[in-house]
Amino acid sequence: MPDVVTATYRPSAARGWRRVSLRWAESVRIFGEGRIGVAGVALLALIALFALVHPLLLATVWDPQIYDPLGGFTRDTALPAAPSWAHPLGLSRFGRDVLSQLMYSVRVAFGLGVFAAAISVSVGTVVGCLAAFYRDTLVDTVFMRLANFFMIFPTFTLLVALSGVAAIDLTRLAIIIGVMGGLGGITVVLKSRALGVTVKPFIDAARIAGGSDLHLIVRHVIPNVLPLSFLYMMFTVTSAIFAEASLSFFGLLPNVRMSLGLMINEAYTAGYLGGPLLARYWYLWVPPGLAITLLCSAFYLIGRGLDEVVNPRLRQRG
Amino acid sequence: MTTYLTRRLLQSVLLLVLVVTAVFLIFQVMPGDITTVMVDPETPPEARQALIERLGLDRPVHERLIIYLGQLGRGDLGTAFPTATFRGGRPVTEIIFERLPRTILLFVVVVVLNYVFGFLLGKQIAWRRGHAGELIPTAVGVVLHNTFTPVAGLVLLWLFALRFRLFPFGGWQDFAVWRPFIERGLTSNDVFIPMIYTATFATIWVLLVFRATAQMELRRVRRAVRVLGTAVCLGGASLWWQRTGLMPLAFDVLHHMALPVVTLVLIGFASPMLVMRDSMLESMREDFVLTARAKGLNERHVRNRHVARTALLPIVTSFALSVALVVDGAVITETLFSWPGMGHALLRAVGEKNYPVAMGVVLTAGVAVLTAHLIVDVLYAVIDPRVRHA
Repeated sequence: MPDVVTATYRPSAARGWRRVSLRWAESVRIFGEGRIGVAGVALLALIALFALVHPLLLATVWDPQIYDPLGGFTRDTALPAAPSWAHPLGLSRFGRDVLSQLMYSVRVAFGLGVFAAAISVSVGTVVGCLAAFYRDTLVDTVFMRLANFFMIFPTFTLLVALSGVAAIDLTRLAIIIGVMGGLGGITVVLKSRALGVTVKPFIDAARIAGGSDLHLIVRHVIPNVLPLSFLYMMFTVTSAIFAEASLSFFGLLPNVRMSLGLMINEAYTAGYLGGPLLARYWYLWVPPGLAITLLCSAFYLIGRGLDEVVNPRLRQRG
Repeated sequence: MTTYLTRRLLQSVLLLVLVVTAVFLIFQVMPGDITTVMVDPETPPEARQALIERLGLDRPVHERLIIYLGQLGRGDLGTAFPTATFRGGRPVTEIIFERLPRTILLFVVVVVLNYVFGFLLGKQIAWRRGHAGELIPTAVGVVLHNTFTPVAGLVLLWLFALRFRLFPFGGWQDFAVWRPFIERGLTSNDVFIPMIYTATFATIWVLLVFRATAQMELRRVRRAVRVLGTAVCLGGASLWWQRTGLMPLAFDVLHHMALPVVTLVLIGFASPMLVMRDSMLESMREDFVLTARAKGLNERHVRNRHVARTALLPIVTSFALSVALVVDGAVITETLFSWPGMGHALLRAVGEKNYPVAMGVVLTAGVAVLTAHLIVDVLYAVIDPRVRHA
């Protein structure tokens, strides 16, 4: 008899994830209908293209001796140099090509943001689902208290203090931001969504059919909260990019060799930004500043678009 | 209600212990010797040794944590190293006490403005769903929300302090104005603390006036009463300040505060605005809105008195979460504008490796955030009966 149960059960076992892929098409359709999300994707695609062209340019048109974002150098000009045909966004105080630096830094920011977001969402999803599945047990209580703590604690303030006591590089920064974000708000939101899933009849059905806790969580609970996870991923990307830029701006990340925040920091510490020279040296701070805004806005818009997919009540009609 | 409050209070105490332990541990992971962290490296060897013993730095970590907790219980946060920003090696509590009111004033003003603008704009854009009236404010809000704080601050400084010369270029006092008062032994707190009270009182007063007039049917009368109420509040406040004789100082502080506040509000108003928009969209779908319209009420009435009212709760929740964001924003803004508050102290302390100060500031931030959270939860219990009886 148990064999029969498992036999009838197996096909439905994969349904958790298959349902995801089915619903995926539906989600993409809804996402496409909301203009906000599409605008975000378009913007992000443009930025990605911009960043990806960089290695190609360095391999073909640009001489690495001059254009390398870290070691390139141009002699025989007054520095910083205003934009020209050879250097469309000018040269920095140290003779580096600003456009090349910008393209490289956008890639760094992109990588950092996505890495941090991936970590926070993995942590948040797993912890949130565990807390919902084992609700009112010690696991739930401990993680919820932790989440309360991380949710309300000012992350950037903590990062400033951390950068004072330990040398943080980009990878560690991404991990710290990811874990703090994942254990905080994301856990709470995902838990409340997962709670709604764990009381559904199909969970009981799967349990009666002999599914283990692990199986139930991985196959049935997690797939059902996944869209919400993606939504929160977008917001973590933004906060990670911001945190790195702000820390670099204040010169608190000595291990980071080039980033958007560092570009602005370089001009700021030279005294170009905190005074009357700001307008003259626009090409030193407008490009990185704008890049941060556009990159974060793109992820933010995608997040808003996903919000309409996840929360049907926000949709225009329906 | 009492059980809810007791439970909530106990949770806060638990979280507080967690915060203290976390902050303590962060400053223990320092590479190198803990003694170089907690005791100023410049002190002579014998004094150093004595200090290390007195502070218990030669003991193991868990014992030190207990010592540290004991110290905190007595209100002792240690002594600052005599670095450039914190000359004189004063007790950290003294530094915090001096700077905290400056940050709180900035914070209160920014948060109130953020929420007033966010609420009003969010209400409007939700109603204009799908039109230019929604898209443009949303787009502007998103871009401003994602503007890099230092860039926004620097541009505003350049524009309003250098080009138009409307506001001072950073700092918090015009010494010429303050000198006669400082010679009489006045401290900055004598001005900042009454200012915080004034700002808080004025906000509560205006909110109460608006709440009390909400039931008035005639729009013209309602508006007149509201304007009158606000005017009475402003008049009373300025009369009170006139009597203390500190009016010029208060104006000087406001003058210096304007640019940091504008920076933080420009960056911050979008998030309550978007929360309000979403919340409005959700309550707009409720049946009572249809009923209200069917009764023949005009759109403005439905929007302001039926939808916006029910849409308020998520705003209160988002307030609790936004506290951390504003604290983070203040760290950056205070440093940019040389506003000598807590955030400024933190960045300077980290830069100068003045660990007792850095630790004290992070702890204060933690306590402040916990307190704000507690207040919001209590408010929530008052507003929403479901929480109280859960």
